[in-house]
Amino acid sequence: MTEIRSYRRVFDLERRVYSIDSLRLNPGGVPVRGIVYLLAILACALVAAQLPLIGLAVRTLPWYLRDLALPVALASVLSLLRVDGRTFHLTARSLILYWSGPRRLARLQRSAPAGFIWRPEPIVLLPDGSDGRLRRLRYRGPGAVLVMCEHERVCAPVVGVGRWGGSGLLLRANGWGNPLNEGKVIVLARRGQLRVQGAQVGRSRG
Amino acid sequence: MRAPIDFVYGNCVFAAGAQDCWAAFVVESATYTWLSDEAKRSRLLSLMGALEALEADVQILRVSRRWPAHVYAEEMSDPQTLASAAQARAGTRRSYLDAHRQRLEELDAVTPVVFLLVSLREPERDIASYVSQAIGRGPWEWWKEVRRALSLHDRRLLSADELERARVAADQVHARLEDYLPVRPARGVELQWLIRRGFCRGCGEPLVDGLHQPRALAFERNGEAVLAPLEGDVMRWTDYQVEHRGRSLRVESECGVSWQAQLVMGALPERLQFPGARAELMFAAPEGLPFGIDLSLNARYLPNELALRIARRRIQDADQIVRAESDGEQGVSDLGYERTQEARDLLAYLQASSKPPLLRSTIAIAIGASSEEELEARVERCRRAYGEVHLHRPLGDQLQMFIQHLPAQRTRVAGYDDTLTSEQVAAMMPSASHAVGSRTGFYLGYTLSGSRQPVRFNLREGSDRDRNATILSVGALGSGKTTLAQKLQYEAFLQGARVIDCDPKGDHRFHLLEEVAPHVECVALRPDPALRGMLDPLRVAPAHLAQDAAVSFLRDLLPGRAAPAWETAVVGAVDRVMRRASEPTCLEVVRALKEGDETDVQVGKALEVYARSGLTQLGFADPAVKLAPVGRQAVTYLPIRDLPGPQPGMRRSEYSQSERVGEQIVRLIAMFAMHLMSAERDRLKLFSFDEGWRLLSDPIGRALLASLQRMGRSELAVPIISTQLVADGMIGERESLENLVGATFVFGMRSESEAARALALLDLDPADVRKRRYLLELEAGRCLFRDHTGRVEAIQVDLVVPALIGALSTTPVS
Repeated sequence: MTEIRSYRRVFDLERRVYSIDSLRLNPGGVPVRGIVYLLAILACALVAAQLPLIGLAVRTLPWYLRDLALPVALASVLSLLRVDGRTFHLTARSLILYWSGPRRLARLQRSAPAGFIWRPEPIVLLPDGSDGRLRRLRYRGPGAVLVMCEHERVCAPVVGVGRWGGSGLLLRANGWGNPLNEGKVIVLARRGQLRVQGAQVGRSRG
Repeated sequence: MRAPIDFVYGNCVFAAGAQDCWAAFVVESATYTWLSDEAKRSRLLSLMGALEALEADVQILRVSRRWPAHVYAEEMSDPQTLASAAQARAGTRRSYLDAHRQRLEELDAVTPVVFLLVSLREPERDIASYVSQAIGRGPWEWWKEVRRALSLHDRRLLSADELERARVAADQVHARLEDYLPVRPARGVELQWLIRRGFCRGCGEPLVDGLHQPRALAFERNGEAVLAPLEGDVMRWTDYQVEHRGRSLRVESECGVSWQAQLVMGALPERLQFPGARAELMFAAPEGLPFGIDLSLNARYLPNELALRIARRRIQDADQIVRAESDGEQGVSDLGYERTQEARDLLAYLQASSKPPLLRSTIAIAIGASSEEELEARVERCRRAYGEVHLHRPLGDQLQMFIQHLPAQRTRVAGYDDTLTSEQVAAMMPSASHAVGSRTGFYLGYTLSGSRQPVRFNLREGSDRDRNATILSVGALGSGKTTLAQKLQYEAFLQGARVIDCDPKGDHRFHLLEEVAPHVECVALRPDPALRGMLDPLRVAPAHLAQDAAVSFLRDLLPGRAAPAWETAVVGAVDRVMRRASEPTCLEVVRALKEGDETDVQVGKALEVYARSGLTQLGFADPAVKLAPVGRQAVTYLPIRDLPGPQPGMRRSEYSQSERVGEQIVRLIAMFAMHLMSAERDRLKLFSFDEGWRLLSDPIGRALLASLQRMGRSELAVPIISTQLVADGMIGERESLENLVGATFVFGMRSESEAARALALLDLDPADVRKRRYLLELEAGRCLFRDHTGRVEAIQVDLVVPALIGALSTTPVS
């Protein structure tokens, strides 16, 4: 037989404050978690006191009850409380997420309410050049571009292209952008940029 | 909510984006309960070794797969796999299989499937380790990290390089794991099943055709091949309606409405003994339940250096608490004192030369049922099964815990993690099971575990897998070994096999079954002149054994104090007859002796007496007399009552004449069976023999069995040897038995010594009192089964069909 040990108690220790300076708090110490709860309750009480209706009720309580006795009592109770084997703040977090989250899910996503009609997002269509006009596009090299319509080339800085912008080639339709007998090939070096200015209407191919 | 899984590529599962890739493996589960303590410890060390060698976050999923009863019925009635003789019995076979299917559905059994998922991401470390690692990497790696962190691109995009790196890393993990565990990379279809079955938990199995694989859109970006995984493809696998009801989930699945509860384990016991059910949390409790549950262990790997730092901090904390307590009026508490000691023990453990890590783990249990009431009952049973380990059912976290059971997930619920040693995790034995028996073949029975796993048995397994074909069945009177033998005979008959049933006690009923009777030929071996020569060794023994068998037979018939010259005369006569006669027989040998010198004549006269009387006349064939042909029917029933035999354990030199004759007759029967079985090479043949200790405790009997064995491998012959006694000779010769016996069934025993010998036969510890008592308490029909691969499990032999139970019972009904 082999004995297998668990070191759970080493990791499962609760931090407690036994004394502040030379002042002893209590024989068993005060859990740090309880102090945090107390501070959180006090903060909540302060906020609640400022709220229109609740504040009225809170302000009717005497200060020693509102700012001392009740928060201390509540923090003590909460620090003792264990729900489903967990401390209060972990349980509270789960419950808040549960209550605020969706109850019905489809594909593990929030399920749409009854009667909801799904409409797709705008669909992006990439042209293959067979339509009747020069489309607006940006292309970054390396690569080659075949231009099949009348066009004008401008060597100009292309703003907003690439990581820092930079110089590139601007291509725009010339006149009606009539088709060329022979296509022109533009070879782009690495990081070379081509910007095509789209034509409004035309029969050209690009 | 973000989709829990983005993409699946081979056995790489991308959970939260490209940077969170896991490699999925299937761990082969293996039988465990009846292993020796040493073997169990070895299993523990293997698992520990694997966990430590991985150096990564891991997720162990032990899920239940419903035993496919319908697949069994379809597979067994596939006409392509049946012999022509079996097709003639298709009707009987179909009704038999229907009964099996019905029983298997009643059992509603599940088998465990174990997945091990290993994160390919570096485990999270403390800041010091992180900085020292970063320094080692260099500026280019830093720059890439920064770019990745600040990248505005969609993080789900995956470059081809990254995908390739993940695949290589998964292969490396596989290589590391293979040194310790029997694992293989999980297939896409298995991962799909693993995800989809979570939604059908407690209702059935999803229909996974394996045709659908997640795809990705491949394109080029800045000269680099990039993949955008089509999220919808994996999402399709989770396309179910889930309703979160606080402490339970209601899932509308393809198998019906599944009600599910997710539990999580609380504090584990402080000290445990291994091996022991309390330590084997992922095996003992789930296997003790009559329904399937799923377990998930999600562990974060804490490398040794980080674990050491944590341990040192804990020592300081523990000491501080003790100091504070000692300042108080009540002094130091026992808990406080013990904690300081434990913290130091932990430090010592972590400072060992093996530099063990720690695993921050959460163990979750998922239970499914088809109704809310059933779910509550199952949760209650599960809690009882875990006893001292408290199972929490966190309110509001059911959905998160459900997702935690999906592959490639980390702990999603805070507050239940426990820092465990690799030893603790390994001791949970996630890969242990009750797997035993064959992958194919008829349903034999079920394991005597809470999960009652069906056991199949394939009579052809010995020859199919090139292992020993002989089946040995041992047990006290009325323990069920004859019933088992008859069940196997019946199934062999349904498979179209040739069955030879030798029945020395006359209590077999298989040949009387309505569907079997028309195919039976009964050859009652009795002192009848009409059967004279039926067992003549020169006729029935295999050619290579014939001369020795005849000499042995004739020599044993001679008086005990016969002169050595008599034995020489027998040997010479057998030799002469074999050389001169075209069809030699033992009666020819007697005649040859009578033609010889004076000594030969005396020997001939002595043997002639045996050739004319008693059972021994079965061994003397007259070449002029033609016997009725035997072996024309599918079943040959050979009853032989009152066969004289020695007391078990008696020395051979002390045998009386009649006992020697009895022994010879047993050998002749074995040879006769071999003779009958050698007729059809490609047909399955079954030879069932009761009182098998007579064969096994005798060297010549074992030699015969070895011949049968060889025949079994090459000619599909399966000897079933049943015996109620485990003779010392059998145990003493266990090594030679190892080469003879394929599968062994040990039924209930009546004495401690018999039980000890039976355990030795199974290669278990005969000194183990608990196991001996178990054998003594076994009820009829229950046995320890050692299959062809050496796995041992306690099973209940299940005849299933009520009519068959009544017909094959050897207990007289008043």
